[in-house]
Amino acid sequence: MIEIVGLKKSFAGIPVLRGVDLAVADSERLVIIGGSGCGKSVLLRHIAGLLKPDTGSLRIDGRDIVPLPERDLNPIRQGIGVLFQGAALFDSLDVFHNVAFSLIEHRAAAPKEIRERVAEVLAVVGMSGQENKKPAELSGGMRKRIGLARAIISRPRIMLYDEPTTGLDPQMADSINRLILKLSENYRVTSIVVTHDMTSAQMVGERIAMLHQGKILVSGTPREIQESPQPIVQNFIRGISEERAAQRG
Amino acid sequence: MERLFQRFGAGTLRFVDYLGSVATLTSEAFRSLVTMRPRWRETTLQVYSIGVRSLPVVLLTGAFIGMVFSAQSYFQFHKVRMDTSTGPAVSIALSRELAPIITSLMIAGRVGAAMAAEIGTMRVTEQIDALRSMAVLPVEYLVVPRMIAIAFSLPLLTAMSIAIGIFSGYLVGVEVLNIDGAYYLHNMYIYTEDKDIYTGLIKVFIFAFLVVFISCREGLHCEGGAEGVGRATTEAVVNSSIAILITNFFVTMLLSKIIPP
Repeated sequence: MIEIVGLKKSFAGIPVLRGVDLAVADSERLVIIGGSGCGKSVLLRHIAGLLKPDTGSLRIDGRDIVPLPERDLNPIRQGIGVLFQGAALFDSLDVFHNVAFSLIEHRAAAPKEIRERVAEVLAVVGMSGQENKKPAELSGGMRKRIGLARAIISRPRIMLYDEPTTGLDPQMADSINRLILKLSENYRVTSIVVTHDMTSAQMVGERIAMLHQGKILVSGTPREIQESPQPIVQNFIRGISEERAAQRG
Repeated sequence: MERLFQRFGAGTLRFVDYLGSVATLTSEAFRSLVTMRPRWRETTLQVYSIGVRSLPVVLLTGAFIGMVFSAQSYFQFHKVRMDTSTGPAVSIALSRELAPIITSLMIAGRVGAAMAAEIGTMRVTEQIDALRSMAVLPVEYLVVPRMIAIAFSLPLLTAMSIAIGIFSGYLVGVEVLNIDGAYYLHNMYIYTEDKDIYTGLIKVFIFAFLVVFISCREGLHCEGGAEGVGRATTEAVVNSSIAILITNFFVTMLLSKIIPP
């Protein structure tokens, strides 16, 4: 269970999050939507413990992670997998060592088991046999798949996806969305997906929350969001710019 | 006038903030050195990258510094018929000052820039965040292996620079400028002491930490994409070089009290 209460964050005096309140149940698939620069990724980074808020609390399984120093966050981080927007693979390591990174670092398994688990997660993301390639040799979609394999190898209870389909062609985006669904259903992980891709949001979200001007504006099932009477929500899901909305009156 | 004071105040605050961030990184790295498990693979790779791959440039600069210093010393000593003093002048100057400073500056330029660029690129491409998200502290994974490697490599590189500088100085003095070889070596042995060598090596051991912490700090605080990486790299080299030159004076004065020349 993730509970966020009154989360505020400013950068150089400019407020980005202005009091976010949000709760995510165990095994739930939540999609956070919102325009570019509205603070979706900032919120996700707070949940991953990568940023500290100015005020507010963020509880994971009842424990407030905000006051914890960097070293004490590590046990909590080991239960969270993150897929970064650009995959964030380590350039200097090949696919095998990228995927096996957390297991090797934390000595979480014997070498034989590590090899087996790498093969298993690469098969899950459809990248079997790519162990020896370097990240530079992979396409954007392949990098995201490897990033996903790296995130799930330590069997996290919470998965965070930062713009998982951005920059991908529709077919590859569909493939990534299916992977997110598959992981959620097979491993019963709590999934939080940040995106501005409404197709992706409708496909993977059990619940959708919209972040607007640093606060959660609305939250509900994909159908409820689709039928929301709020003009801001309707303009966003239909892709109507603020200027065009103003012209329409 | 008010604006001038504001600028001065802002600059002072930035400088104090900068020193604070380097000090914090230093304390984190030494703490990790005690608490973390050894990372032999990363450390060995860094020893190769910092030590072995810097060897050609260090030997080349050491050789030419020795040669030019030998020639310049000879030109002055020759005026007062003290040609054979060239040997000890070259060996003492190289051991105490020239080799430590030149080697450290070369390493700041070659290795400090590489550290800032590599870590800075990792920072702007979210690789540092990926490390943190996998419960790996960037200081432990990136800084400590580099710290151990440079603290191990720089004194060795300096020792090699001293050796090749003295040898090339001898070649220029004896073979090119016709100083008597026996007296050149005799005077060099008499006037050069062990403490001349280890004074220089103590200094570079300190410079090694300046280079690694300043350069890693620049990389870890890098922001703003490719432009930010370029800026971090330049700052790493400039700040490390300035820190080496300033620290050199104070360490020299301090060591002169502890180990009188």
